[in-house]
Amino acid sequence: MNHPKPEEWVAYLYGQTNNALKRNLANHLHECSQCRSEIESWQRSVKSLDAWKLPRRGRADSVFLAPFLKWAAAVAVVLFAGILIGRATAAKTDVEKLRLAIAPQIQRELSSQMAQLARDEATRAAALSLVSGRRYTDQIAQQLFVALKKDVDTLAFNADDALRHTQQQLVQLADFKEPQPVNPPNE
Amino acid sequence: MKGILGLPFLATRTDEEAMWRVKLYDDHQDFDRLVKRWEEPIRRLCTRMLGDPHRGEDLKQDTFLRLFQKRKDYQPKGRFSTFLWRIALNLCYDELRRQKRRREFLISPEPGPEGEQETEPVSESAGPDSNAADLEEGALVRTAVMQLPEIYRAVIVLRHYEDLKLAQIAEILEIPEGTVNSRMAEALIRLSRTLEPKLKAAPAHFTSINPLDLPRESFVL
Repeated sequence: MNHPKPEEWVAYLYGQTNNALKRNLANHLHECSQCRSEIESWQRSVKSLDAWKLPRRGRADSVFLAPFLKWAAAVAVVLFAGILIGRATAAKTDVEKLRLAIAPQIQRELSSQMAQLARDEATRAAALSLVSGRRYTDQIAQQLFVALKKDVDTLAFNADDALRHTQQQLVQLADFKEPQPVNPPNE
Repeated sequence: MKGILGLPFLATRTDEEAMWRVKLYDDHQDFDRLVKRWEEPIRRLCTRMLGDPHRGEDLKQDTFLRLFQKRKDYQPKGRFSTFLWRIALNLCYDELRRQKRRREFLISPEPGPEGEQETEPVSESAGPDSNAADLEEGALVRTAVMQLPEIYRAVIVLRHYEDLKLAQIAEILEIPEGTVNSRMAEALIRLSRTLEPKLKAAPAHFTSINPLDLPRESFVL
C-alpha cells in the first residue's frame, strides 16, 4: 500500500487540502491502521503541548499597583463628594457684610503698620545724619590738628633757633674782655 | 477600572500605522504602544525557543532594541508582526548558536563530525532525560520541545503556542509553504517519538482523538 507523505498528512490535518485529496486521505486513514496510529500519536503529542505553560510576566507592575490605584481612586471619589456636599450645604456668605465687618480692623492694622514704618524711617534718617555729622566733625578736627601741629612745629623750630642764638651770644659775652689801654695812665 | 486604565481608545491605530510613524518620525509614543502590545508574545516565543525564561526576557528586550534600530528597514507593504517575529527569531537563532559553540567548547574541544544544519544537539535516545517519567507533565513537554532542532521548534512554537497560520509562518521564515509543511511533519514525528513512550507510561488524561473526525480547520482545538 502506498502511504501518503507526512507533509500531506500535515496539509490534511491543518485543512490545507482540496476536497478530492481530502477524501482520498480520509479513505486511506480508514483502511490503514499504521497511518491511523501515527496520526493519533501526532494528535496526542500536539494536545500535550498545552501542558508547557509559562508564568505571566511583564504586567507585574500594573498587577502590583492595581490595588493601590483602586484605593486611591476610592479616596479621590470620597474627597470629591465631600467637597461637593460641603459646598452645597454651606450657608451663603454675604460678601458686603463681610467687607464692612473686617474693613475697620484692616484699617487699624494698616495705620498702625504705617506709623511703625514711619517711625522706623525717621530713626533710620536720624541715625544716618548723626553718622554723617560725626564724620564731618572728625574731618574738621583733623584739619585743625594738622594746622595746629604745623604752627607748633614752626614755633618750636623758631624757639630752638632763638635759643641757640642766645646761647651763642652768651658764650661770646662770657669770653668778652675789656681791651687794655696801650699807654699806662700817668701816675 | 481596567477600561479606564487600559485606555482602549488609544489602541485604535494599527501596528502598521504605528510602525510607520516610528520609522518616519521616531515616534516614541507609538513605539511604546507597539512594545506594550507585543512584549508578551515575543517574550513567550523567546522563552520557548531558548527554554529559559530569563534569557527569554533578555531576548525580548533585545528584540525591541533591534526593532528600533531597524525601523528604517520596515516596509509598510508587509505585516508588522511578520517583521517583528522575524527579528525575534533571528535573535533566538543567534543566541542558540552562541550557546552551542560555548557547549562544544566546554564539553568536547575537538568538533564532532555531525553536520551544521541541525544546530541543536538532538538525543534520539533517552539519555539524561531517562528519568523524565518522574518529571511533571509540563517539564516533560518542555524537554521534548527543547530536543527538537531549532528549525522544527520554531514551527511548533509559532503554530501551536502563538497560533499562527502555516502561511504566515512561511512568510516569517521566508520559505515556501511546502517547506513549512515538511518541517511541521518532521517536528510532529520527532515529538511523538519522544513523548509517546512517556505519555503511554503515565497518562490517563491524554485522551485519544479519532483522526477520522478530521479534517477540521485546525489541528489544535
